[in-house]
Amino acid sequence: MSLRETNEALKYSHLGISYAVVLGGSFFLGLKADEKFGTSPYIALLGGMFGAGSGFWYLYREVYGKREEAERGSQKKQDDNGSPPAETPR
Amino acid sequence: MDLATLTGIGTGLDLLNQLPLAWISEHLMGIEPIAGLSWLGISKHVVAMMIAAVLLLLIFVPFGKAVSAGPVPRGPLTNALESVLLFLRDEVARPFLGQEGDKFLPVIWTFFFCILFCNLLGLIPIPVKVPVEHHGQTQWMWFGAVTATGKMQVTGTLAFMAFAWYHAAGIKAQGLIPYIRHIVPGGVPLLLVPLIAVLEVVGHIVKPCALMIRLWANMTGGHAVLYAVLNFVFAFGVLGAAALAGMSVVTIVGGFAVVCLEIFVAFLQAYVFTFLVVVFLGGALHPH
Repeated sequence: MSLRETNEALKYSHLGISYAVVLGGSFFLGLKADEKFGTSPYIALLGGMFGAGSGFWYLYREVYGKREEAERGSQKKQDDNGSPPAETPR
Repeated sequence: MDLATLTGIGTGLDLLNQLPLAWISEHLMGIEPIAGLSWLGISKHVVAMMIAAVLLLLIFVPFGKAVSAGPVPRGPLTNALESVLLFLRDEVARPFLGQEGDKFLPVIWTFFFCILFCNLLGLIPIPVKVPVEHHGQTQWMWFGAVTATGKMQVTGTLAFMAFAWYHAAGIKAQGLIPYIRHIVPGGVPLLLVPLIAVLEVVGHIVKPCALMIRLWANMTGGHAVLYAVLNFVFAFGVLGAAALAGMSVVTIVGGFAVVCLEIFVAFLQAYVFTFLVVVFLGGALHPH
């Protein structure tokens, strides 16, 4: 694997930790809110669900958003140069 | 023969307090807390960062002068530093930021070397004897060096500095209103815009958190493994001299292997942190 390919993979290396941070952070904030308002465990559950949802949205945006951007970029190059687009890294 | 007789320096907690546990301890260095706030004193981590900063100045100020003085800088250290700097420019910054990204290189290089020096300093067992308050009594204890980046406050500060920097660069490049407008991707129905905006803001906040946790966990994890390996001696030493001798070999070999791994991890994590900051900076500068 070349360095460029390694870097391409490294771009996505933060996604796992990010998902854990969103999920854990939302749940933790929910727990704290439950402690404050005495509503245990409802806000924590809501926080967990929000964390899971926003985590998935983040993963989707980071992976598919970047892929769509790359495809748009290669399409633009094709339009500019009249040459076929380079293959998008998957 | 027990461990105390073999080593002549005591057993149990007394011994542990003087050995690797001290590497990751958070005691203040016998310096009075600032303004009466106990958490605002100068800890070993602060001292480690100061040492790293002084080393960076001692190395890079003469290097900068050498580079600006002549067309071809010479010397092994100069060439080694130059190769690392050029590697970061050609393989990290330019592929993601283009030629215009060269203006960000000083900050990118600073992030890399600051983290690298802090990571590596924690691997050097500098013996420092400091007074420590223990059960109301002052004891003089031997402390080794400490990994500043093994402290979440340090990695968090670095990550949020990077966060502020790449957003500021993005705002400067695009303007405040277009930058905020780009937070929500195009083509989203108007009703969903508030929800997507919240999710996107969460995504932006998560990025520095991921940077913070990754660096902290990697640097702390290595020391924890080393601590566990070294403590085999104490765990098995109570069984007798033969067990102690056998386990010493395992500990020395294992400890050496872990330290070698930690040296690699020190470079790798400095690179990964810098690389991801550049990727996030690229995203802030070029939203599409």
